[in-house]
Amino acid sequence: MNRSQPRKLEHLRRHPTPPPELEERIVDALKAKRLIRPATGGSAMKMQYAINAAIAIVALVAGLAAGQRLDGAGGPSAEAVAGDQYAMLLYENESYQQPEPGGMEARIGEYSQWAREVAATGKYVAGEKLTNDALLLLPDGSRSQIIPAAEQGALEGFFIISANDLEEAAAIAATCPHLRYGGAVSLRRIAG
Amino acid sequence: MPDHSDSTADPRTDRELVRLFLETRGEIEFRALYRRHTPPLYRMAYRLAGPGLADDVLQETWCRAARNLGSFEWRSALRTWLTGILIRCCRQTWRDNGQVVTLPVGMEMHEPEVEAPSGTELDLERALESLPPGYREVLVLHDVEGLTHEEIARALNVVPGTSKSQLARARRALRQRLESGTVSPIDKESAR
Repeated sequence: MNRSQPRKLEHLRRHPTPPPELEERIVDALKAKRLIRPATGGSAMKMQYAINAAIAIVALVAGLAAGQRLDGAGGPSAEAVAGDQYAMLLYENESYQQPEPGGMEARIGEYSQWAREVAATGKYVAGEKLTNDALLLLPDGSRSQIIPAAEQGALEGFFIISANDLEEAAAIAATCPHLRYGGAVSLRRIAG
Repeated sequence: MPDHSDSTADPRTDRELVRLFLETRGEIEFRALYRRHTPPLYRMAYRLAGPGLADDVLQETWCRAARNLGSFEWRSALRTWLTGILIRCCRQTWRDNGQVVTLPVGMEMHEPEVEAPSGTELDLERALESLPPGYREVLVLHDVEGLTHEEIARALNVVPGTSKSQLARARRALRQRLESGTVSPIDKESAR
């Protein structure tokens, strides 16, 4: 074979392309064999949120628990902190970067370290994990299960911090590792 | 109706997608893996099994892959592993069609030449198509798809030296078809 022939064969790499309908055929076949979960786009998305949430809960529980222990370790109590209190609501959508396999401990450590650093400034109040067993009470008296909103993802937990105003609360929240991993944080001032 | 709007490349690694897929058997992760790896797999199926059987081979490849992903140990790239599955599916197709693979790959043999029936010049694609499966296999993997001999060896469960020697014979057989319109009996009978 002359030297150009392997190069010519490389040109064959450009075609053919898979027929578009083949993807649906194969997905349907795998669903029929129960090799993938039969889910529409919407419910598949919710399934992903649920899985992400399950992983994140582990990190949050450990991180929040570490934060809560700060009170007993000499950190400021809720009564002692000055200024308003803000709830930092932690959301996860599909852009949240889950830790690599084996990296969960390091992720937990980051959340814990962040809570300690905020506590050292006297701005940390509390942290709690939220379960997924929620009910939405509607004005008409009906109830429904709360499902994650597509835009912001699932609400997985919260911290309560103290700050003189929203800007200071935002500055504190901006340092939370949750944002670095693609999660969203909603700040809400606590009334009263 | 499944969502087809996600035509952009999924930024997640194969490892991450496989890990999530194994946790959830999720359609989203499967589709991401499918879209990433199907184009080269489809080209191989098209050229090794033929246009009429390429879809069936690809479907069987993904079924086997989805069933066995849990036992994949990442000793090779995911695509190499998928290629190995596809080759075995192609060989099954050949056996089903009476094209039994009998020649130990890498075995040196005398190659007497005889005149091709028509004497017409074949283009590269047709010449490739006319090769026996064993030669077509290594030419498609190496010269068309660009796999290394080490990758081919892992996919075909042979040693790299066997891939090299088989490729040399395959190129020689292809050259015969392109240059002189001759055909070797060994190509038809033995090198499948």
